[in-house]
Amino acid sequence: MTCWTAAAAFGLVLCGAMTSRAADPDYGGLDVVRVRPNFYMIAGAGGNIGVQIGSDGVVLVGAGSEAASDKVLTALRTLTPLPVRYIIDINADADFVGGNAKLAKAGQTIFTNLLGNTALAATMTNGLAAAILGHDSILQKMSAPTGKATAYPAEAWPTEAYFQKRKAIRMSDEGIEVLYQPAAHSGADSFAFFRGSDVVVAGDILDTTRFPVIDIANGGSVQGEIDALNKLIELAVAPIPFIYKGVGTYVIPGHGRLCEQMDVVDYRDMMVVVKDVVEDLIKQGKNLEQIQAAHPALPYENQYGSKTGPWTTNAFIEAVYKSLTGKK
Amino acid sequence: MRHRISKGTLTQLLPFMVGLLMVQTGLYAQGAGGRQGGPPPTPKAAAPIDLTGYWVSVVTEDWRYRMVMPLAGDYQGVPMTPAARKVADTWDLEKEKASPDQCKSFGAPSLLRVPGRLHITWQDDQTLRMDTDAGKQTRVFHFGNWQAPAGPATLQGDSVAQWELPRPGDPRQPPPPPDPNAPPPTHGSLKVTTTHLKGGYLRKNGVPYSDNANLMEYYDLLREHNGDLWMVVTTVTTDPMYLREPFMVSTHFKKQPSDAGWNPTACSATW
Amino acid sequence: MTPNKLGLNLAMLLAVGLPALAQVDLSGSWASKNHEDAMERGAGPNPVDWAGLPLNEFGRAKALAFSQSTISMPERICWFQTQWHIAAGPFNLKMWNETDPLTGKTIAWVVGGWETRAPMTIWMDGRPRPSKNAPHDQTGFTLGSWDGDVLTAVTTHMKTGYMRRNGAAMSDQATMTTHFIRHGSMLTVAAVLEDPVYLTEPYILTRSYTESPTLLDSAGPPCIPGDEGVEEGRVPHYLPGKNPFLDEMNKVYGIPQEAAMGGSQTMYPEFRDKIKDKVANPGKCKRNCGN
Repeated sequence: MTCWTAAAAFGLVLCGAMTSRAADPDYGGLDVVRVRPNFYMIAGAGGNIGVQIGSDGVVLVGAGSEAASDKVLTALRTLTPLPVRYIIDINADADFVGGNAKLAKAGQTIFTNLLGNTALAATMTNGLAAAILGHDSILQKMSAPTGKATAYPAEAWPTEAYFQKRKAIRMSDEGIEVLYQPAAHSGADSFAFFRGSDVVVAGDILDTTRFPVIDIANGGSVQGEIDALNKLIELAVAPIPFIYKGVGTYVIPGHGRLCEQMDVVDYRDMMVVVKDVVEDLIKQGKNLEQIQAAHPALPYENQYGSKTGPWTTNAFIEAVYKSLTGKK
Repeated sequence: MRHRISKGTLTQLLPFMVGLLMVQTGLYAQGAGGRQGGPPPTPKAAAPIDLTGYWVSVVTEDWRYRMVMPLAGDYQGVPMTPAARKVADTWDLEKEKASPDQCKSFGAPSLLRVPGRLHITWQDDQTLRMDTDAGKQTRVFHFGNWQAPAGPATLQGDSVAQWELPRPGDPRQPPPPPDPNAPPPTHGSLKVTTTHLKGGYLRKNGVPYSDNANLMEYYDLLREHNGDLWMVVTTVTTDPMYLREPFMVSTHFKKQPSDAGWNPTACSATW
Repeated sequence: MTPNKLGLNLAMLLAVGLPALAQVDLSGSWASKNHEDAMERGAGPNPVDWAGLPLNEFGRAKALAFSQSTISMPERICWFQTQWHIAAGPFNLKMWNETDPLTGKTIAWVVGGWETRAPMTIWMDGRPRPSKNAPHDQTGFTLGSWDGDVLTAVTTHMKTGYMRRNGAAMSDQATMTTHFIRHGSMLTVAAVLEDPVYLTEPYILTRSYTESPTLLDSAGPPCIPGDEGVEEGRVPHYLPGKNPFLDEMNKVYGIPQEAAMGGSQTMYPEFRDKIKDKVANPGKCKRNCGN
């Protein structure tokens, strides 16, 4: 043993408590949170994106914003070489569907061989792009009647639209339920529930960074939002009876950190309390301005509220007020 | 196959290993910092922590026993003996208001629980002094082989102090010998033992401690990431007459940059 | 002993016995001395008693809306305490260290779970903190370091909970710094809570423990929810101005509402001058009198 070897050995002993770590992978500047061994959440690309990876390929829930698509693709390639097979849209907001076209195009349809006719398959699948599954309400919002300008190009629209309350598929040996939630955040919301992974992707029905955006003009309502949150609480299972073991069902919110059932309960409770307070003020004969001035959401303003930006506390109160009074 | 370290290698390595051992031990030696062969540093010079300055009570615990007059008969938390209970049950608010001795709840065992400010200074190299604005009391902590003068017990008693320094390894083993060449320690606590106390009140509503009570305290400093400096005082009062077990509380103070808020007020039996 | 053997033995001695900077053995069973805040830590605080708590207006509003029936909601029956309950609760502590199997070095200290609080694992190996988007669970995430003889643990990623069990809420944005200070057979725990959502400044509690010769078992029992009379989906709360216990502290203790509403000012000595003329003489203790 040489002198240097011994010294190096001592150095290792002295510094041995530190865990050696490889360099962090490149996720294109996005935050990728591992939810389950086969499931990830990508945050920072607009709305949160759920990512299931398995033998059949990748299923995305949400596609993020258009501007973040390249970063999302970088992140996905760091996670797996498998192609995206499905994008499940759970609402029609730009920060959830903006990436549809690019991510679908970068993926690969499961219909690669339509009765041996590849050309037909390409025609029916936007050039063999990954499928985009979403409730018909999403297709209605993204498309337009013939002759009218559309909000999005055709290759971004859902290719598999459904009308039922529930749509189910099975990918990578896991049942996936897409559950329509009427009149919640908007008129076009769904949950995507991955039964094997025990993960629910909730979209903007749950947003831990702000008061929920209740898009009255597009079919949202406060009671629908509360009903949807109650449904989410039902879907998510808490780690009972062994409450210290893990966290039970994971819930991916539209924005903000990864959640579980109790976080949804906190959010639901906030909605109910604010609704009750606004309702009480309405009964007292107060108008909208008076109600806003009374700060009915005061217990929650510091956590979820904002005085500036696209969705302020006052905007939220107005939405609750309009929803309760039926005023537009 | 037997592996052998060459004599040359060992000769090179050994000083490194011995030096390492000396550094590790020296970092924690007690009474370190003096010149080689010179007299040991004074307690003031050897202070591993700086308790001097102004400190304010931050009352987040036992609020209704400290910030206001507690209810008569409210003894929650104090492990009183039946004898103590008997004494406390005779406490009378009007009598206390009229009493010439308004300082019963300002004795050493309860002084730090009175909301107020502390001013800690070095009276001399061997003596640390604590003044309180609430009750205008003074406590004096003597280091070294100080002997209390004869005389009656007092409200603040006689306090003997020593620095407690961190030490590595197994606390059940004797500490390593002090290294006069080691740098002065930068962590530690103040331990204060107080005896010869005149009986008083642990709480203003008459929860008593007797002339047999003794007090042991530890003063620790905690620096928070936001810059706040806290002094945490763990106080243990033993009283075979009035406490069925040692009464243990911890009181915290925040360092103040100046004497702002210093407000000397006389003792009050009710406030 | 040959020079070679001496050298090897010395090397082994140093390698094994090399202490990290001033690590104190905190392991053991520590009995909580509930001599301060005895009632608050045990049976629970009085309703609408936030004196000494630096609540901001949002924290106060949240607390005023709180109904004790909340904990009977079926969704919340198994909603246990956060790590703050180490300081706010009455329970003993069981502590031990986890070591690296290869080096023998301590890689974590564990404060065992107890009844309604999950174990706290204090990682000492400098591992990175999880992302802000990582889930928050019952244990939170804690990193520790030694400052002299004091173990300082910083916990984030906690779930929502309570600073006090009378509705003073703690958000999931809170950070808890816990200092473990051992003096012989005594342990002082100083816990500082920073909550940007509900507090105006840090909230500190300091607690005392003594080493117990009785072995403490550390385990959180399982939780089976039962029916406590609150139907699913109902959210008990009080409308603004309708909390029936607003005057509780005044009625029972003569403490004015101004103090009971909490806020930073209620922590400092000068607050006494403010309320001096408003404190009523409440007479004799009628409930929760101790002993």
